[in-house]
Amino acid sequence: MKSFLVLIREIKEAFINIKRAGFLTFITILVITISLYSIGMIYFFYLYSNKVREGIENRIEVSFYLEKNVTEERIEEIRREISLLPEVENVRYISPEESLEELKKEYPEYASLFSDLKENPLPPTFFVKPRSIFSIKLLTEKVNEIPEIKGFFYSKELVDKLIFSIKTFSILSLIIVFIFIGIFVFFIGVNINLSIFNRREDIEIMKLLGVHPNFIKVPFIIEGMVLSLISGVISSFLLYKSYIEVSSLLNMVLPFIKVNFYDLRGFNPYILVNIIGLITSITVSFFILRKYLKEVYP
Amino acid sequence: MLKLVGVSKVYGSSVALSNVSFEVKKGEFVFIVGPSGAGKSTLLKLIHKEIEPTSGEIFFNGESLKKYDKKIYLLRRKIGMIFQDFKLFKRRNVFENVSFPLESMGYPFSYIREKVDKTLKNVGIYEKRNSFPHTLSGGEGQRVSIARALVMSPLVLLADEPTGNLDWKTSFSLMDLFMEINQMGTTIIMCTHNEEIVRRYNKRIIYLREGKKVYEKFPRVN
Repeated sequence: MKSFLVLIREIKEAFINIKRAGFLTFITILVITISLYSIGMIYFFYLYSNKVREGIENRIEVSFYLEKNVTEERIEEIRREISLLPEVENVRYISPEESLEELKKEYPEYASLFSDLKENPLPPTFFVKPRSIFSIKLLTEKVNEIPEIKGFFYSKELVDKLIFSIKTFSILSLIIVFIFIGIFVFFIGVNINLSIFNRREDIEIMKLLGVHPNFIKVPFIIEGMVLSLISGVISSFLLYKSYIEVSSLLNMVLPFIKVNFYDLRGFNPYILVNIIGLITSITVSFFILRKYLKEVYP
Repeated sequence: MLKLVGVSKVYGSSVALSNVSFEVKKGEFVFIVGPSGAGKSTLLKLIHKEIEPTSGEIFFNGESLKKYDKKIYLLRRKIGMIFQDFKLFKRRNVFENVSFPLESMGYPFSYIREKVDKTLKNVGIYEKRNSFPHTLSGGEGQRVSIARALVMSPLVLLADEPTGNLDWKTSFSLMDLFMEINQMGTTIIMCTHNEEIVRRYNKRIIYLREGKKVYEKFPRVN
């Protein structure tokens, strides 16, 4: 019961302090909101880029060409061998005859040209869909070791560009996220340090009265949590509005990749920004207060 | 109740207190007197564990104060302190100032209200319970400070020049209050350089000069 009453009074103290801080509270909420909003938007673009990548990945296949005189049993063996590779999503085999038929269907204007052929020049082919574009290189190396495979083809330029874009985007997002977390940490830190400075006389009196250190510490931590939560709620609302606007804008600019934010797979961004806010504020408050209280309350 | 054994405090090359020893029994009233810089405040700060002695040891209820190294707050709940500048929370009213220590300890509000009101009545400041410190006179401020210390039912009350900023009339009125508190069983150690006050009340006196205990005088027995 006593602990509960202490907690209630610590919460009360935190709200009194927030009210008294006035302008500082406003500035802190503003900066944390901007930081969390930016992190949320970067997260959105990260999910979007994943969707774009998946879209392109779904269209990428590696064609492996076989020698012509391979028996059907051996073809089946090779198919099984390839499909067991961890880098492989699925494999389909197309015989030279099937390839020719597909060509005829694809290019009906050249149908007579294809009919005049004395010998089918097309090789038996395995079309392999990789699990990820990042594993294509390894996949080609492994499959190429099979003696009957005489060559392969995929859109190397496209894959290389895609890999480069993904890596660049990931690094840039990470840097930006860290910058905003840094700004957030800095402002929470400034807020707590200024609050401590504004209340240094009160803290000194509390110390002399024999107030438990936690009663001094906990209201600051609650204050940081409350500011983060308020900022988290505001940024969640802004993110919700922005996701709708940005999604419709992207759908206009890039109509071939339809974006509905709720179809994007990933952690809920509203929960994410609130968790980042809370964890960061608790951690920063804890370390600043530990250092300060060690000095004033040895 | 309180025992100092060869206590010294040195700041750099300056000796604030040198080899001071004495014992205070339960329910005693002791004046620590001496000129400015004699080491009176240093002595109280050492007992209140705001500073640590350079050498020597202080015992409270038979236990070394070192026992409270990690839990100073527990000691300060048993040894209350009253300051010359009152040290009131400026943005809390009288009731909130006095109730604060009890609130921080998780007492229920009904108990707090009863205890605080009773204490405010005892120190004669009940009518000002909703006033803020800046509206109080010096004497009233000090009474609030005393009430805040008393509300914790301390075993020992340390008072550092409690009448230092007050006029004569208010000072004597406050001294009478301290005497009443002492008669109810609270041990009081009071620092003062006001010899008129010391002369008026027949209590034990420890005289300090340049950090040394120069003499000690026990009260006359009538």
